[in-house]
Amino acid sequence: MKRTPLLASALVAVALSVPAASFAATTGTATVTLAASANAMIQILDPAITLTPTTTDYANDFVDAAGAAGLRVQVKTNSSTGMVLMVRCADAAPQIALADLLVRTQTAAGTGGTTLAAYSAITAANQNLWTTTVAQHLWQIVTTDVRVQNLINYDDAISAGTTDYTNTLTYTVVAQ
Amino acid sequence: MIASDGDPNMTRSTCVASLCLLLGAGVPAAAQAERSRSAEAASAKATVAQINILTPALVLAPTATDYANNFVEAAGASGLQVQVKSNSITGMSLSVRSSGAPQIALADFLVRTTTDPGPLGFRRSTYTALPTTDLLMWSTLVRVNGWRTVTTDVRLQNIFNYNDAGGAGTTSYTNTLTYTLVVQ
Repeated sequence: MKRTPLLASALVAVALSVPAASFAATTGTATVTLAASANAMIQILDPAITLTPTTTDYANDFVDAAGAAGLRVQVKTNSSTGMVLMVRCADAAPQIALADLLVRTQTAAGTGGTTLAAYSAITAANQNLWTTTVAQHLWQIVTTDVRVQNLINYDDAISAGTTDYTNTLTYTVVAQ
Repeated sequence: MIASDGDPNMTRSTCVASLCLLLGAGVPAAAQAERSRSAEAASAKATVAQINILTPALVLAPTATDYANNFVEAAGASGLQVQVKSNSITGMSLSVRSSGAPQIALADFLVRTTTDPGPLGFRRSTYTALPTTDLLMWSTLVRVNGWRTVTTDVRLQNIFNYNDAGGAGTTSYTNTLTYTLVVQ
């Protein structure tokens, strides 16, 4: 008779204390904010290109590096209003006359954007080559076709080998 | 053992207390008061845990380098700091989860801690995507005296996926983290 109530008391005591320990918990909150800013990035896939004119090119008086043979750069942006890819020749003393170095692109414009679709002389100041008006999260390759004209104006000695004339193109991408 | 060999009055009072506890709401008010006092006595002895959020808000503003890396971090002293303490002799565990409507994809929201675990405890030392259910971050299996600060390092990846309009200013994307401390 005495043992039964004692056992019941022990069980009740355990039943009371165990939940108190199991549910002893507390919480708190914190916030984390990403302050995103419009950003654009560029990578030059073809840092150098050499055009070696053939006899036919000399007959035409120009040489092209177009399509897959052109200069490739890739760009991307998180700007919701897109970006502009520009190109210029900022050489203090360009070895190819700027009027003889033409550029264009056949890469389709981004959404709502534009392209420089017709060959145009490179300039010392930036000119737009390709644009988009929406964000471009993945890399987009833009290829620049290059044409050098008036080839006959660029001399070479009669001996073996060639004479190099080099210009540097500077690409700039700007989020808009 | 002592009660079973001794005073009959002690046995009777134990029996009354047992009945009151077992009968619950069906007992008179006096018995309920007795039960209330018993519960208070139990809670006074219960293990407790406390948490104190030292960094209730954290803003990560990526630099150009961060965008080039496609992630941004707030780690170490720059991370989220919370303080925890408990009187549990078997320790405590700190978990974290995403709550509310996240504006940063949970797969892009990584957490870890470099805070040393308590004795025999655990720490999440590698970056792990933040889930909507509790993710164990840190624990101890023995009592830790006083407040212990646990820092959560935060890494946001794929930041190029989060748009901002051109021009000045930034666009904010905010997630809420809920920390839970449980004694064990």
